[in-house]
Amino acid sequence: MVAQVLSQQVPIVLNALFLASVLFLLGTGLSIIYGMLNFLNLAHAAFLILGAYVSATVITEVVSAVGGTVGGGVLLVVLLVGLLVVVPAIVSVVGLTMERTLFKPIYGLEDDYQLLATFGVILMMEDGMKFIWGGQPVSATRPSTLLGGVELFGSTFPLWTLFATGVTAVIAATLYYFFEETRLGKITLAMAENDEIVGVAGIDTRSVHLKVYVIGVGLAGLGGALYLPNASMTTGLSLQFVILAFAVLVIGGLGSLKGAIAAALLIGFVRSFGTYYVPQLALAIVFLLMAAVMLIKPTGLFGDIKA
Amino acid sequence: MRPSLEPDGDVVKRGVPPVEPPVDRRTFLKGAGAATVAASLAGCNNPAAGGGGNNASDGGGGQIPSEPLRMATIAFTSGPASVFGAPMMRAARMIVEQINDNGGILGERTIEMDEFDENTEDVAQQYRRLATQENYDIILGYVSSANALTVGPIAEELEQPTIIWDTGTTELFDNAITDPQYVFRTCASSSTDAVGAALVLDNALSDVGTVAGVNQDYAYGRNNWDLFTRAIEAFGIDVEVVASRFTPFPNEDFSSTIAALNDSAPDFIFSSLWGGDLVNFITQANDRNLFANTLPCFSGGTHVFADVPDQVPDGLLFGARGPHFPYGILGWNSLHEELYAYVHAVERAYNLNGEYPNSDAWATSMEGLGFDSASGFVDIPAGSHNAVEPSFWGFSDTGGQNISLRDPVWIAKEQVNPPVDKTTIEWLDSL
Repeated sequence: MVAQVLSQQVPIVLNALFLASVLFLLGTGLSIIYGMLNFLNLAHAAFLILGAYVSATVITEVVSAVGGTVGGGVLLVVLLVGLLVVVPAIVSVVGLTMERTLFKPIYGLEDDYQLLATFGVILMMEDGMKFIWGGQPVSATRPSTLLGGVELFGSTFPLWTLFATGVTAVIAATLYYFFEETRLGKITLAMAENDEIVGVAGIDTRSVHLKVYVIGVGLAGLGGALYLPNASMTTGLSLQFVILAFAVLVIGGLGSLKGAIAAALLIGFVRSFGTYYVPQLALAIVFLLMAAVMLIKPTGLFGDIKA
Repeated sequence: MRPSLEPDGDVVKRGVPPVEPPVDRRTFLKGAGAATVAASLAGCNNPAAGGGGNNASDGGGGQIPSEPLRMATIAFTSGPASVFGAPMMRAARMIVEQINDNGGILGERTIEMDEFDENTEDVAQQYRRLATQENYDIILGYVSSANALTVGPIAEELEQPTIIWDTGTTELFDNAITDPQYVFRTCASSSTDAVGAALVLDNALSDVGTVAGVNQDYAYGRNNWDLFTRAIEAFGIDVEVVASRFTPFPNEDFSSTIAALNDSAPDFIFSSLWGGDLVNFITQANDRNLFANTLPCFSGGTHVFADVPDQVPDGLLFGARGPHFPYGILGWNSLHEELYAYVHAVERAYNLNGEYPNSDAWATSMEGLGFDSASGFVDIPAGSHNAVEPSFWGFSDTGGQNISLRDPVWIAKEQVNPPVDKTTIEWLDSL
């Protein structure tokens, strides 16, 4: 009986944790950029998709270049370096370029103008990615294949999703340390309160701003890198992830790392269990959750902005 | 070990569907292929083939319009459904170029093709603009079943010649347009896929006891599952349906759906998933070992063979609507049938009536049209506005340079499509 329940529930829990991991990496970036830099970037989710597309190219090129000459273990290590380091770096560089050319001019505008402008940026990025990678599904699962699966209570589960969950947990802990213990983290938190006073104190707020922005974009790129070996990418997915990213923002509260963690977990579990038990509500269930949180605590679970 | 197909040889036959008419040519030409008679007499079979193009002196002798034919083509060239739309547009460009290189329709009238993205907020408004303000002679297109159901009745209202090139929903001519005049569909409906899958289950897979479904939660997926389950009932197939899952479209996460399917442990899964959804489902299901003891049957997914060959495991059952799979991808097949159907119908009407056809004469000419295409015989039965095609199935074979279908079987078009005087549901209920 216990074995049967575990066999049924454990895969759903692990699915939920993987989904929560991707949402955390996506939502945290959006949350810190909005909460601390006051920039509402609707296009943030497109960096996750970009990360996934770049990952597909990295995986394909690495496998093509060294796949036949090295063993599976070495190939996996090379691929992991590519996905965990190179892909976020590439996405960050693209993000930084866009920040300087497209986003910087709209920082001073009201939220609604930022929303409209960055929605246009999503469409531009979608078309740009379609131009580069085409409209067909893009898929590259070699890292997941190399890691293989594990038998858990009678169910086979891909180790890649467990690995991705583990990596995200380490990143969440690192981010917590960054904001709580490091000077840059504390400056960032101070800027969220009042960046003018931080600037008066002699701190280069623009430099801090860029660093936080790059971290946020890099996390979204990493989310794409961890996501791709489990799924395919097609253009049009950015808009779906935008909605999920904003769900994390709304449920967790603006600019709150704890909120992003809690919201990502909540959405991951609600969606996984919801899809399993009430598939008819698979789409609606996240928004029902969002509506419930907004009714009970309009600032989000860990947000402190006055409604 | 993968299960094998053991076709009964009567309903489900081994091999690939014949590309020639299933009866001898003379008999066929006497019957439903009257269009081919006219076309063949006039020597206007395939204008792109070279040498077949006519000019006015070959046929009726009437005036052929000097201005180019204005053709609007509509498909998803962006977003998830561009998996079908993008290759279709490329195929359309190529075929129009071939036709024009041979002088055009009847060897004289070239085609001017304009492309439009189906990925629009208001497909009805777009269609009305093309038909009434931009005055296109012919509108070809639509990948989405929902969009076809939207524009079909509008096309009839505006008396605008329109050919649907890819959507499968049987609702198009069963409910949305019950007395079609100007709308045609040159590919088979989902009946070919869903009823075909049920017949394979009944006549080639004797060990299946439990069945589940995974389909997209919109018009196409719902229609397919409905037809499949009705066919199970109609043919009295002794299986139990243990799960039916509808997933959002598009969907990137199938993990919980797969967990639910693993728990219900069906012997057979019927799925009309396509595009990125199908790739995601196959990838995630394979990672979770769903296919170890379950045979999945993907009724419209052969396009993934070319799109993401690395993600297709060996030994999954795939369906290919129509006889065309061995001759190219779906986008190409849908397109060349549609374009040539239009051209043949114009040429047939011209040669029979002696004058270039207006919309009504063209529509009359389309009914009962039959012609040899590059990938098999295209048959729009007399009295129908929908092509009928055989059902074709096989296991994915990853052993070669390209993925192909192993151990193929096929079912005659008459056994997977309703007769012209019945809707699909009426036909299934009458069995």
